[in-house]
Amino acid sequence: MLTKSLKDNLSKMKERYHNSQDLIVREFVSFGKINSAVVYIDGSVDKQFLISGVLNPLQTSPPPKKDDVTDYAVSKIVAFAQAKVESDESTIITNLNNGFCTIFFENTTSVVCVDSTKWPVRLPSEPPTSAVINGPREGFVEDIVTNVALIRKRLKTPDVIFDKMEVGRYSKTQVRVCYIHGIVHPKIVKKIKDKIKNIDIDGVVDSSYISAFLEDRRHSVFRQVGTSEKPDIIASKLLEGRVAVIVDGSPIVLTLPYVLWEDFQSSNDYYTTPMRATFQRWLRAFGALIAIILPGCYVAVMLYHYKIIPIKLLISIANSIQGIPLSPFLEVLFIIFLFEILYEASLRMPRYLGLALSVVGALILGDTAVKAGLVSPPAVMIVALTGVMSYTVPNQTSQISFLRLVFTFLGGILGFYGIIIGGLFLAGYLCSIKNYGAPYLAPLGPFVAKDQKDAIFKKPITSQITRPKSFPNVNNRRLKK
Amino acid sequence: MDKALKYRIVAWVVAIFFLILLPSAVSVPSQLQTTAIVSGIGIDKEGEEISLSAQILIPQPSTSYSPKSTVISGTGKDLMDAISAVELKTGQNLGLAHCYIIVLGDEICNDNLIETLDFLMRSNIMGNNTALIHTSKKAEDILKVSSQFSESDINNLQNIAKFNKENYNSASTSLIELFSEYALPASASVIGTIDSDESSNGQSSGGSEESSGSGGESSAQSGGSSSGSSTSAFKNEGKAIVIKNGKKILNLEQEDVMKFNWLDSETQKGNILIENYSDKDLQNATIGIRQMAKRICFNPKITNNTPILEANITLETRIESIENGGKIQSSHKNYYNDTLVSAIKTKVNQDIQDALSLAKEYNFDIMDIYAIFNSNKTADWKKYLSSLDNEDNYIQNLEIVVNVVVKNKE
Amino acid sequence: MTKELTSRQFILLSIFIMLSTKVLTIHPFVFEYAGKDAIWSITLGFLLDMIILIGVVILLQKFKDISFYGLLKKFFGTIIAKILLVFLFVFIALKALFLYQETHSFFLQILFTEISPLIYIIPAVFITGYFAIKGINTIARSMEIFSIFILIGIVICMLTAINGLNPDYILPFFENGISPMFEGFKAQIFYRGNALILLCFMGKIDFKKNFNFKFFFFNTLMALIVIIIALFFYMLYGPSALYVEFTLADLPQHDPFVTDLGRLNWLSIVVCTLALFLTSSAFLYCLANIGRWVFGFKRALIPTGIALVFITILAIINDYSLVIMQEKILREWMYACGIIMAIYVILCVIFLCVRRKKWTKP
Repeated sequence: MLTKSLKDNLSKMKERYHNSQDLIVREFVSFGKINSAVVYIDGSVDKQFLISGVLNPLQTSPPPKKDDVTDYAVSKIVAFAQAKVESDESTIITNLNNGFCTIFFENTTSVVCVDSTKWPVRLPSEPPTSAVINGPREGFVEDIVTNVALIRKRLKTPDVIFDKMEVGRYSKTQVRVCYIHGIVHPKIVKKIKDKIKNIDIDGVVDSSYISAFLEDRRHSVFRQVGTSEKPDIIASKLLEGRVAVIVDGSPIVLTLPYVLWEDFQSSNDYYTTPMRATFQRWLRAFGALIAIILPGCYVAVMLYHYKIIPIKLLISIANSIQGIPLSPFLEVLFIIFLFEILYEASLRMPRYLGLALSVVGALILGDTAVKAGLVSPPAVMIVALTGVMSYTVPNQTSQISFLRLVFTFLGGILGFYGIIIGGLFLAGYLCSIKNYGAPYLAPLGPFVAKDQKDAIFKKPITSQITRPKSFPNVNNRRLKK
Repeated sequence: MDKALKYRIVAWVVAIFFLILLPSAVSVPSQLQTTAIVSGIGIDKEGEEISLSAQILIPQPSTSYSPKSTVISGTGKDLMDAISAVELKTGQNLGLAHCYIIVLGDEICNDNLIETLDFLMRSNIMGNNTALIHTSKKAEDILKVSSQFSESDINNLQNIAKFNKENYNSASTSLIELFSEYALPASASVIGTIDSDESSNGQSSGGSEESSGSGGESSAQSGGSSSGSSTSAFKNEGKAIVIKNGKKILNLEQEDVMKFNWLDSETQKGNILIENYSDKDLQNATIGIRQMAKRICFNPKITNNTPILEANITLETRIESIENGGKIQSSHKNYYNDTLVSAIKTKVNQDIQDALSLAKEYNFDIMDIYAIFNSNKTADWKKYLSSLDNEDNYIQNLEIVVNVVVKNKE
Repeated sequence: MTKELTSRQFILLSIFIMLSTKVLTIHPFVFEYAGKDAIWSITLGFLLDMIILIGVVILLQKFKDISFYGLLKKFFGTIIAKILLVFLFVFIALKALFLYQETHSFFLQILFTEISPLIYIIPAVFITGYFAIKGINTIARSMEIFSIFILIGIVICMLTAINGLNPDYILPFFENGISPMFEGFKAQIFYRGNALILLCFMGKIDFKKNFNFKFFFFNTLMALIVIIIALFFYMLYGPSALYVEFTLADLPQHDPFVTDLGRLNWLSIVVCTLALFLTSSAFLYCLANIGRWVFGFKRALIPTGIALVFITILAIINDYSLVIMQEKILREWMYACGIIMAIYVILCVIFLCVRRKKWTKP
């Protein structure tokens, strides 16, 4: 509880912040006679606005005629600033933490909180993970207000709702659950909000923390929450009836319900010709499939099924594996691990070193390993090829890498039989996942014919009359003809 | 049961299964290291035993595609036994999955081939469409010649087998065809003959071709060096043998094979040589005509207990050469006229009648006469067969009426 | 009752179940009895299958809000219903076992030179058990995903055979009368009647508009495709069909120009294994369901486990060999299957004749 003594109140605030040096307390005289103080957290406020919009009016205005100083102060502060009178200590601290400046007055038990927030933010720029050839290049930033604005900019309707929530005992991270009223299914929104409400964690520093709580199968290899760094993608997903979860401090916005096929769609698909987009989707699917099974198939063929290789290819392979000391299984495993280590190292290295390392890794290590007779050229080629192919679906790269390893094991242990068993298990597992009312493999399994216009095929936007049926939504019609 | 516990149990079971099998996957060498890749086998008879020769590819530790091969032989009481003998010699399993050819020595063809080759059909170790080739010498010799050729050389055994399939289809029988034809009432097949010629002195380096007469000879040297001392060659002269009831009954010369080819619907291409041809432009000329395509339609009928096969043949042809006593003929002139067409028709008719005479003489049916009549005139054909003293002699009363339509494809 | 299957999924399921035993070993087997007329035996077999299928589907639509067990119970009382279900259990178990055997034999011949029965059976039991526990919805969805690949694979295998077709191998029809055709038909009874298994899905299907047309169109189309496969097989191999074991795997093996490209039988391996394991899973699901009905288990795990143990024991008795199975067991089981089939066909006829309202009251 605040007291009437300014001195006591200020020392209480300092104590609450353990005398932290970034809590700025500046005393001054307002309205010519009242002792006052402005309190704020350094770096979180716009100082120029603080001087011109808050301090100047308070210092130069005539004294209030009535006793209620705080209400009078609010009326004198520049009109466009959000200012409110608060008396609860915890609310005052929350406001301070959120970049408000707080003005204390002598003989008053309430304070004026003025929104003068100006956190250090990055300007919206093209996200490195989803570069496009055509289409908008704007990306989300770490500031939630900017991110909300970027979505609002694209959906100028009062039906777009941003429900505000707070997660994290210490971090008090702002989370906004965003959806379009009248399109989204209320049950989905409720489930998401309930899940976020139930999160009791000390701090949330990125959206991936929230994402982990939103997933139904938390030990799964497969992610069950969609992500995007681009406001145009989020806007289009909201229009499809999905829910977006924006987390302060993260440029990655989460979307739900998520189906696997989303990762095979790229924002580029919507800004290019439908035929090209369809072809690219098939390429991605083919690339992902090959990336998963090719090393396993190679090992299976070399160990158990050489019969299926055409004679000319067989001779080439037989020539190239002469004198290799490792069994094909170990050989492929060795190269996969080498590849993964190179990948990991190149990520961690400074950018200029990382480039050099990847070149050294790919060209020199591979070449010398072949020349030294440690590994055979076909094995290097196959692993390198699958490595490249796994990036055709960037959001699934880690899953593909894991599955590639599993299928290599299966191919080595049981040959084609193992690969088929693995493929069946994978399909069965993915088919059994239901994610916020959406079957994970929809619209392929179950096959939703009407959704194929934007799944296996990409039809022109003019033929996308209805919203996806793969997950629930309340307003199915999208295009009026 | 607790969900997490259930997951853990399943994960442990799968992990244990993997761990048990993992050592085998780690220690298993590549099949290519434990298996000898066989590209062709030869079967001969040695006394009472069967000798199997395998042409085994030897991988070369290089990036270029030029496999060498060697021939290793083994004998046994039957084919399976002989294969085991070869495996003992090589120390590797024989991988017959890529074997494209089976060369049959002359002697083995006098025995029942069906019994000899039954193991290959039944065991599924070899593709059932593997081509069969007969040689009048030892099969091993042919494979030895073949092993001197590399895959990239122009004339290797595989190329010759493929060429024969396209151009002498009636004499190109695969393993499965031999068994199918054996099971049919006619029980006759034709297998092409390829020989090796050790005596010919190759004047050119390995892989070059030297042709003479109607047949083609190709020569090769080990390693492709230019010295011509130890040169071997294939002699593919278009000859063939006729197999009936699994045994050889006749050797066919190339012209005989060509004659039988007229009634084979799959053989599309060929050459027609009209000798001593005279018309208003040409005198005693020899005209070479290329057969570009062929369509054949059979119309079988049985009249007065005589089977008559009406063969309607449409030929698309082109004049390729005209030898007219040294005179140069204009290439712009169209030499197709009724006389030439009539000569072609006569030639085709004569060839088919000759082929029929030969078939009657040795009582074999490689033209599928039985199947044609049985499929189209079942009742009459049954009646005809029952009227014969020996049903197997059904071809003796056969008449073939040939109608040829010749189209100019200049 | 929850509708677990959409119309599309049920159509696919029926196609998989009906055709599961018809693409690998049936053709050489029937040829042994029917000779040249084997194609007619196969066609006759499909006719029988289609008649049973039509009856079953009419029944499923007539009693769309009640489970099969519920219907049997109301009609015959609990004890007889359970006895009848035990018959159906044996019928499906034999079929499932046959699928396992067929796949094992297929792997043995085409993929591995030798594969230990244990190494084969453990993953097979694991994967089919997994699907059966996950439920028919997961099985049907997986079928939806793989069906297009399976169809493409089958069509490619068929196309590779076009070059060497010889009509003389099957002509003239009925050369020795129609008795060989009936001999062949009788011999393949074990392969037939799969449609009866669909009774287990009674009450679980969400029938949509145009269901009947789509159902019969796609089932007839697939039956025609399989008959064409048989036709191609007999026209390709003729009398040598006896030497060939697996129809779909051997179709691409005849033409040397195709085998030059590589052994395309790997395609049939993928196609057949996917189809056979998914169908086995559906069979297992039905077995587990019957186990639930008969013994009153609440969860799928226990009846599925029991069904798997039952099948594994049968498989061990059979020594995992399809040849032995054909020689020794198949002929004996054929009669068992035939009798159960007859009982159920009669049952279907009875149900088709009764009034719906009387038996579907809650």
